[in-house]
Amino acid sequence: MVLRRWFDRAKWNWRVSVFYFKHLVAIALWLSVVVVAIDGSFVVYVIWRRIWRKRYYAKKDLARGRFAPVVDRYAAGDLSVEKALALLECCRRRPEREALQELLLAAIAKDNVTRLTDLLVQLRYVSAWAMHVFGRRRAAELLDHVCRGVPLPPRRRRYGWPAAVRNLRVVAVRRAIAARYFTYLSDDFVRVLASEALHDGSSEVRRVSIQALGRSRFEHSLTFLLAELRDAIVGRSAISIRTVRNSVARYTVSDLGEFLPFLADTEPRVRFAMVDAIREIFAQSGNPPLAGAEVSADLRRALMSLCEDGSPDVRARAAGVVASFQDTATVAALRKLLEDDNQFVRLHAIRAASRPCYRELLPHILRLVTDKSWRVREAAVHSLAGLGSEGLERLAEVFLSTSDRYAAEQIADELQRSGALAQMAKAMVGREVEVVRQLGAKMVALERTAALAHILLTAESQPLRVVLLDVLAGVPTPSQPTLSALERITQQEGDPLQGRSRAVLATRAAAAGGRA
Amino acid sequence: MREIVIYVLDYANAVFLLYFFVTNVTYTVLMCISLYSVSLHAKFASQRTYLDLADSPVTPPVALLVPAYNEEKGIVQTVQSLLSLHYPEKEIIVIDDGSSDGTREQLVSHFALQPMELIYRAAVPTPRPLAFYHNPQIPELYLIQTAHGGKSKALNIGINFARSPYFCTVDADSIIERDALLRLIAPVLQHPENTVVSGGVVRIANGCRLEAGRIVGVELPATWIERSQVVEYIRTFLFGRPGWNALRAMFIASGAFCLMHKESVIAAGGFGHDTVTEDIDAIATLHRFLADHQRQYRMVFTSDPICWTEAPRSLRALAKQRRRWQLGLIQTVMKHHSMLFNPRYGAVGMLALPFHAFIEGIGAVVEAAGTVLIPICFALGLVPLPVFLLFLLLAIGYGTLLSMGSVVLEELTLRRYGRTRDVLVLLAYAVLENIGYRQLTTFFRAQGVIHYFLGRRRWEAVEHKGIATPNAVPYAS
Repeated sequence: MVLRRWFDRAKWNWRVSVFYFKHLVAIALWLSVVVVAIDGSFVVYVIWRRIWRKRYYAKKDLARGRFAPVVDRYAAGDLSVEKALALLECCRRRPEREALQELLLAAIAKDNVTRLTDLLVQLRYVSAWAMHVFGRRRAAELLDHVCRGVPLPPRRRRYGWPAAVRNLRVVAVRRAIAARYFTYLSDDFVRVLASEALHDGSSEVRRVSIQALGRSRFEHSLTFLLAELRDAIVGRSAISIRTVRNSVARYTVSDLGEFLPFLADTEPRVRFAMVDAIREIFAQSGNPPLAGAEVSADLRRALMSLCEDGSPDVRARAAGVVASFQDTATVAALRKLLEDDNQFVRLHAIRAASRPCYRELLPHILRLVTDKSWRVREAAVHSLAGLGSEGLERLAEVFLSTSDRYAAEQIADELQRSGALAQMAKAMVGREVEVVRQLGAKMVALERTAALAHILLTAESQPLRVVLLDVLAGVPTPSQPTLSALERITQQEGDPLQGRSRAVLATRAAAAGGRA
Repeated sequence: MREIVIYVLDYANAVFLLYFFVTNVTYTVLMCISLYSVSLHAKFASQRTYLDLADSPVTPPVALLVPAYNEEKGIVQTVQSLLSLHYPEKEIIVIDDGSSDGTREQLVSHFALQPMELIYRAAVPTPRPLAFYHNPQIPELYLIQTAHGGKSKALNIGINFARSPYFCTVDADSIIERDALLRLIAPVLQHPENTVVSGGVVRIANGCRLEAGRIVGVELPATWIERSQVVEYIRTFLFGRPGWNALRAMFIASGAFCLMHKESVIAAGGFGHDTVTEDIDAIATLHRFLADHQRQYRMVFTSDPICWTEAPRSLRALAKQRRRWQLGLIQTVMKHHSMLFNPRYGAVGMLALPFHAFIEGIGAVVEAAGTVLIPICFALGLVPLPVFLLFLLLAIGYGTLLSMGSVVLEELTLRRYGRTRDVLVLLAYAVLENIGYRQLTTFFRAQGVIHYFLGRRRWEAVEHKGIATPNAVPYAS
């Protein structure tokens, strides 16, 4: 109140105020009204939209229920196009059209794609998509070309909105969505429509078209995609390398002939991308052994020559590709790559050679377990462990015999991660107790006792547990997991190792007391 | 004397109004840009093109790094949600940052993890972890136990242990939607430039129904604090960040769910230890490092990969959280002050950093002072009615406009709240949160700034109760 009296409201000095605006009250009030009106309209809009969506989806569900049996019968080949058209032509409203479109696209499979494409054309879906993407006139030309074989006139300048506006994302996104539907159509349509869409000014539409071509795996589009990949690598395209590679990698081994001119490209990054794409194609098809007929002699020669490429990246990726040939020439090439100066070449060569058919390369891979690069050591150990019991046995031999601490640590790491240590110990304990003891001792020497303690706790085989307890009892300063394991055993009533474990702990305690 | 006081207060009030005006104009610009970019993205995302990446050989592996400190209540659910992610190749690395509760035990028993001693190579300098746990039957899951050293150290340990070229930071109290990681990596793969950061949306999971690590029912929480936070998060993630993203000036990406390029982060020195918000600092550090080394890069924010996280349920916890965020923001801004108005750093240096420094950072004190002083001055007769009305309009009326706009945008694009009632409640809270909640958070933020200048720069831990009672079946069984 004192303050209030001091400031005396009546004597407010407007002349010193920075807020001396004549109509400020009116402005503020009007702004408040606007804000409240907009807030109110938001509420009304949300309610209206909810109601509209509810009705819309009810209509759509109804249409789906009506048309689903017709689409199913048509997709199964039980209805002719004429009959299907007669049954479906009544669908004119937006929810019905959308429901039918979704049903038809979902029903498309390899064996009925031509029939369903035909129906989509007849129901004017394809023309609507094409019109969105290419404009009315060009869409008509393209569809005439596909459906009636009319020669396709060259592309003309498109009238209407300027390219700068058309290529804005907000405008292009509708075209991109329409272009995506081309993916579902039969090869003739995809080839013409998606290829045409690749010339769109918007990178969004081009990206979708590239994905469409990749998914349809149309043979003649591969050259186009590979050219696009080259452009992306040298920075001449706004499409990402990974987008194009994703599409290229969907092709099959039988399409590889198209790669041939690109494998001899002067730009090493292009050669790298091409050979990497081939590697991905092989990987997608499960890395099958390739007979002579599947890969032409020229391509084979080109791929083999990449093993001696000047770029280490190309050589590294070529290893994974040539490994599929599985013949004597490949063995020689892989052997050379395993001895390459570049660590990444050696690493990829190891991964490529870690197949049962390359048993003769096993000694070379074993040698790389002691490589100077940890990446190579890691790859070698991982690959050997992946070769099954033979690989594991060889690893165990190296593990026990090597004096290279890094190599031993890498093997110990892999044995733990893959769970192979427990498997090996269980498998060996019946026949090679001494080897198990040595393995345990080596793990202890490397200070890797936690996994041993875990096996000691969980193993069912008593002889194995006895061996492990012996090994762990000899550790000068036991780790926390070891001590916990021993304590848990002493607490487990009826455990055959209870007494022994208690004795070990007592010895430890006495030793610790003595030191104190 | 009276004249002088009136004069000073008058100008102080002018500063407050100017602050409110500039803030709201900036938000309006961001709102317009966000409306454009979010609705456009939603339109295209509805085609689900990202699903192509699920079976693509070019989709890179991603390591999900989950630093956890005393998170026993929600950690199992979080890991379950990560294991069920729809993604071709992933590693899940939980880093137990010296928890004193049963975080480690929960994970070890639920996922039957075994102790191991594995190789650890420190590309980013960190002490060696205490222990590693792994179950060969779940090859993608690893648990690393470390001595308590803070979130940034835990993340650096995770980075060192990860083998994937990208990593995604995930909070231990968060649940990620099944396709969220695919959606997050999509802009990385679809753009020719090297995308070093891809941030996603964080939403509040309080009140949602959870089953086996998946959100099965999105509902609103019960209390006003949580509901106000729901509106606040929607506004931040649909109106703020997409706007900055469109301006190529991303400065904040929530560490609760953020994908990063490992090599770039390692080259920039990993996560720093000198701020309490390692996520903001990491983004600023990356901007600085990459711009200084003249590398082509971009950082993106995508509005549809959603991560659900637990929000504070009490005022005390909220205060702690906001103080920490504000403190971290100020620390980051001060640490990277040389980037301010520096054209070398592009839109980040010229727009985002000044905005975050002066409007979001120091501005919190101005806002708090204005919130207190203007009504007092009005009551004392020092502020004329028009000024007071303008203040109310800018502080409350315009705030409701932004909040309601963001709820409408949510309804137009993501539509995560299925029940009409929930959306109407959200709209109501878009108004109500401007009266009381916003002022409270402003005071907490102002406290954060004051703490910085007083030198009280410690991490205030927020307790978590867990999103839902875990009733999942242990993996071991």
